[in-house]
Amino acid sequence: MRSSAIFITRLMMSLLGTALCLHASEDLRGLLNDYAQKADLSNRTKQEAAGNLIVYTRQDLDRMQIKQLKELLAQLPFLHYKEDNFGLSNPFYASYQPDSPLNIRLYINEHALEDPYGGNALQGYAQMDMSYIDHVEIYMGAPALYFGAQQGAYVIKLYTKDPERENTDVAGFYGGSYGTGNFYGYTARVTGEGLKYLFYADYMNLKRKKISFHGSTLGRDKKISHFYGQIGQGAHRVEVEAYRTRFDHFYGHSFRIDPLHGYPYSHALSLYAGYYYRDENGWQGFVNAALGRIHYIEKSRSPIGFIPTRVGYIPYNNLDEHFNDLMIDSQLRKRFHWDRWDNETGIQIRYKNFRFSDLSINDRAVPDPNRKDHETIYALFNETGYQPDPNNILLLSFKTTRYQVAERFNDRTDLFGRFGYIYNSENWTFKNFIEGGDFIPDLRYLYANVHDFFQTEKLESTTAYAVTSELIRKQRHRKLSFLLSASELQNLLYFRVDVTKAALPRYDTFDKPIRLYNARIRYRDRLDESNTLALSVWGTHTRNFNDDSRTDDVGAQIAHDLIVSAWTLHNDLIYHRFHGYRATWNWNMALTRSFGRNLSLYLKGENLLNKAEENRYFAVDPTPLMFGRPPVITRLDHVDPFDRRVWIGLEYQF
Amino acid sequence: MGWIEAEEVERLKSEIIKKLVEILNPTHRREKIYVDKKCAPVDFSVERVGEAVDDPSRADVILVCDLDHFAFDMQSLKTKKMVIALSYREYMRHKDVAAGAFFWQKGRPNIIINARYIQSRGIHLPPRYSAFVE
Repeated sequence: MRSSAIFITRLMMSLLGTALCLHASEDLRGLLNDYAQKADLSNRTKQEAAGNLIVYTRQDLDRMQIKQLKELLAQLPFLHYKEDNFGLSNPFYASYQPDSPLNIRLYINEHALEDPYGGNALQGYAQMDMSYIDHVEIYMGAPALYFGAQQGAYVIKLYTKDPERENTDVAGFYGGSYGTGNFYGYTARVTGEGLKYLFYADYMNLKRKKISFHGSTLGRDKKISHFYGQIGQGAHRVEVEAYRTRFDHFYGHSFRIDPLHGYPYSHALSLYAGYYYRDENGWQGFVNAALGRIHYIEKSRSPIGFIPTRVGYIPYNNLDEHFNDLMIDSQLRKRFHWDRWDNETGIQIRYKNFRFSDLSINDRAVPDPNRKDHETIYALFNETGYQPDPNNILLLSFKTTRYQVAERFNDRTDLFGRFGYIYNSENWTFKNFIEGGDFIPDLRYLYANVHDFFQTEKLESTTAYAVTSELIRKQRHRKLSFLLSASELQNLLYFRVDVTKAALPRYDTFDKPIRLYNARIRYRDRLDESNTLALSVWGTHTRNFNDDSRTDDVGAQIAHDLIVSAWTLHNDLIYHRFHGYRATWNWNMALTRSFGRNLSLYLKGENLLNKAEENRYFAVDPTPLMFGRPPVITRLDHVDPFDRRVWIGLEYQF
Repeated sequence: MGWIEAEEVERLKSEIIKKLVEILNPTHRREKIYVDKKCAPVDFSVERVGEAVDDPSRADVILVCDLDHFAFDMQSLKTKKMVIALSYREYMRHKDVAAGAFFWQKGRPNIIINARYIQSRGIHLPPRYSAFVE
């Protein structure tokens, strides 16, 4: 494995050397590439004061031929990409353990993608097509509160393509390994009257590698039909979106990871509409609504759950149920500017509800109990900036959030605050933040503690404090940054099982804190018009005071882009070593050939070494306890969340 | 966008337009430039490109976003002015008049050099510009 990595690195360096000899001075092409990079839309949308930031520009996404968000998640420092027992993206997944309240928050433009039940919108979106996305901003480390009512450890903002920069009609197709195929098209223009529109449609048949385990075939295939539309004029914009999916769900709830063939799976329909306003006087606001309906079916050889009866808990193997959710979100904010002061104030109200219905267990309809919950969130936030001179900025922000849930004893008011100092000049940026605040558990854990585990005590919020400092050296074609951070998490959520007591398990919070120390170095160099090189190294040290453990994770990445005439070649190699896992190597490559302005063909390889991230799972079957025997634990290791895959694609502009 | 970055973007756009003008007019004299009012707000420095004039009749180079509102004889435009379209739509509508175009499409800045224009004026371009000729 080490020799493979050395070989790949040498190959990339020799390509680099060849390119340096081959390229001709293309002054106009060089100016265009420079202009494309500097005028990238991300330079208008990114908020450097919001936190520590990684940007993937339009040019980056095109060169890398990024098709799914999960490909970018693999590149993030400090993050171990995982997929859960339903085959859905969840970087914080651990079998039976809850997602951290410091989750990843996902936005498309200003639309917060929230799962009212699960909280983690990545589960639905991380494997969907991204052909309508222009650029991506990733904010790390509890970024600015004004991104939404519920903050997270990472905020990922996807921005849709801008009709003013598109002016085109496009159709494309890509397909490859395992029989995957995807068709997409979009039209985006500005009319003579200044009306801007973007309409996008996509059909994806994502076929993934099947896992054979204990006589079962575990699938993660996905079929997605997706439509997105956007119309805007002046200060107003309307968005609509619909998608219909059919997902295979890996092994679901199966106690021994032995689902029946073809199960579990789900059908889902999601609808969304939103209105957005932004004017020249600093007013911004929106109101949107998203409705979802999922039909989930699961059958397994071993049980998948227990149903309470008058004679005790009875295991069951079949489940058929519907899940409905609704989220309504609204926000109003105003930016004020006076002399050297800048202030932004806003309020947000978000309503979420979910409901299980039409439940059948072991093919028998179950009377519909009160299996629903809702949450209303009221947030008030303010950020004040003071700029004594063009190079220095001081920031002070706070947010107070009131959560009201159906079980009123879980109501709470959380606070979040941040102080920042930024120095910014032509060649240097120095960003420093101190922040702290509360993160409420996702609604499903509050619900489960009450309805599944009959708890009547309030489930505490997690409190996090962090200090981050980033120094960036900028030159015309180079950027070098050093980042250090330290954070402490108190009352982190976990799933508690007291095996020595005859008590139901429940969600609870750790008594002692967990501390994380992060460091990262990033370097990017545009060597010339044809070559760009990027390097990154990071490390995390974690100290868990609950079990007095210390763990270390490290990662590194090298990426190279080569542009010669109508050819673009991108390579990136990602190394990770997470505590308790083998070292992993993830090599991705994209080769694009343009034929004039209208047609491009590409070849893309993902996880070409077949040594990318490893996921592990375990399932517990407690039914033997009913007969005085110990529970059965089933382990499934060495599962690749990234299939080794080759795609071929083409895109045509009419 | 920070003010430093905005300046750099303005400079690069000016340089690109200036380069395009130089390619289309090998005499390399400083041209008189008129920018169509429909292109407002102007996000580049006209002075970097050439000498800014307020009257299109005095200009050598006209940068247009909407040619239809110009009170010009098309034949006169075609023979006496260098017309550069700043939108793809405008270039396609007036390909018989435009010398070239500079515009955003598919998220990228694009340049077109009109093949008929350079042929009619006997302009021979270096091979490195052939990718822009349509």
